Amino acid sequence: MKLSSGQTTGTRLVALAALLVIVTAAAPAMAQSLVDDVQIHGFGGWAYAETDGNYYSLGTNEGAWDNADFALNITAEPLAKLTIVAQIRGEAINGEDNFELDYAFAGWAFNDNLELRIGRVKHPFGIYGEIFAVGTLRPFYTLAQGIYGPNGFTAQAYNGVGITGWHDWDSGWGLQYDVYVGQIEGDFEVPGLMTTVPENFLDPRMNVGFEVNNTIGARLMVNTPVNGLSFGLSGYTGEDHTNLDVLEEGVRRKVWLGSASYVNRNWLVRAEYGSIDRSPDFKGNGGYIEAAFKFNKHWQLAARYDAFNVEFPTTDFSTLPPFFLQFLDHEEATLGLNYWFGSNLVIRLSYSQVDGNRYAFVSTPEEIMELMVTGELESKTNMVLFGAQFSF
Amino acid sequence: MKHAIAVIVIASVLAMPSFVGAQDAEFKIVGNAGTTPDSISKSDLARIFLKKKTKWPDRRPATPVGQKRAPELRTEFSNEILGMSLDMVESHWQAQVFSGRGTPPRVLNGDAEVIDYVRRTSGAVGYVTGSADTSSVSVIKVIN
Repeated sequence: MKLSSGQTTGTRLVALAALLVIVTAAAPAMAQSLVDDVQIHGFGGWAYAETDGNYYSLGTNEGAWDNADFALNITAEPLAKLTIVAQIRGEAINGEDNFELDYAFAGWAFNDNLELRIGRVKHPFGIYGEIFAVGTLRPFYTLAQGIYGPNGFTAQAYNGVGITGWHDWDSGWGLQYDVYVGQIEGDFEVPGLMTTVPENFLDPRMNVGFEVNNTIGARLMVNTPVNGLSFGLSGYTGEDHTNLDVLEEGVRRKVWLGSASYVNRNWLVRAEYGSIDRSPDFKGNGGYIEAAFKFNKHWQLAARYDAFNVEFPTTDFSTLPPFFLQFLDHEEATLGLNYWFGSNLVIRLSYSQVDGNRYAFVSTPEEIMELMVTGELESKTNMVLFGAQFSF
Repeated sequence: MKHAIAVIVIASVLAMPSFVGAQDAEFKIVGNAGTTPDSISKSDLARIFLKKKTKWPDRRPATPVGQKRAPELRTEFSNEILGMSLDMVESHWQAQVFSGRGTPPRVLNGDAEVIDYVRRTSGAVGYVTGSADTSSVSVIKVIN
């Protein structure tokens, strides 16, 4: 459960700090008694991001220094077939602090090719669904907003039961599969104006929680004989509930995503395209393609194009101010330069050009009031980001 | 002219060799005497070190062990046996760990520690430099 900022933030951060202290203090003892059975890993990052106007992703017009996150991952293997995994993560983004349990589950391996998982399990969705926040596994500081942005395509985890497994052949073909049932919970962001509920109008960025109950989902990844080339298909469906009154309750949500990935020593090329359907309220389509080239052991150049479009079939936009149409689209081109100290630490510099206001919006109630008077919303946003990401 | 320069620059970049070149270092695969096979295919050895295969053919648990430092040796082993650069192997394990799918093999400091661990541990398998004294363990032949 994601805990929102507010009165409880301080308490959550204290809890996180306490937990980290306990884990750190306990590590030598665990290492002593369970040398082979417990591993502790973690990842995190920090970024400065500045835009030329709208508030977008990690960036603000004034420049945001307080974008940081850290996660701690613990894996224990008390029995040969039993694995217990948990990951906690804290983040501070533009003055809002969150502390959440990414996942905590038990896995029972029937054999090398089949494992039962039960608990709060990382969501197997697309290329990045399970490694959503791990900065050292991607070419940019943030993932493509078209799929992994605050649009509700995916969630951090599913709560329930699943099976996962793999099989590969000497020919080079391989399969990895996941099937799960349970509940998915997450959130998406919209400008308060977009909800068309007057009391939300002055909220620049509303966080809308959603739950998809009685979810059934699956992911299939296929490795090809071409070393590094793989394809995937993910999807889930279930009864969608949100805390936004204007959306119908219990409507079926259907989500699918196709993925392609090619990675070798120097090149990384990845693309995904998918759709989210919550008819009759909304339908969205998004996708991205990213490519990165490592010139040598340290320097990497990366480029990405991503887009997202959402439709509200039952909404008559002709009765709304024209700028409402800008809330429906997102298009972004990003260039990045990375310096890798090793696979565990990377420093990044990137420039993004955004068109559309699906995710880019003004940042204060005063600016919203001005927008309502003038009716003009800047649709283009430029952002520069500098940061570092690490893992161990 | 500008286009010609741009084409030359792009072509030069694309023609750059991989940053991890072939290494001259040699290595040997060592196994616990009596509990590991005399020979193994390269693909099965890769599966054991990637923890996709956790048992030897006689159903005994396979326990792979890596080396903590020795970048040349690790690079050579990764290239030759796993078919990946060292960075790719490290990224593979990051993805496994943070998706809750597995943890990397334990790693030890240097040939002596690996050989000592393999000697004492049933089903253990590791890699050491070609010049290491392997008289207390068995050397496993890798079949392409």
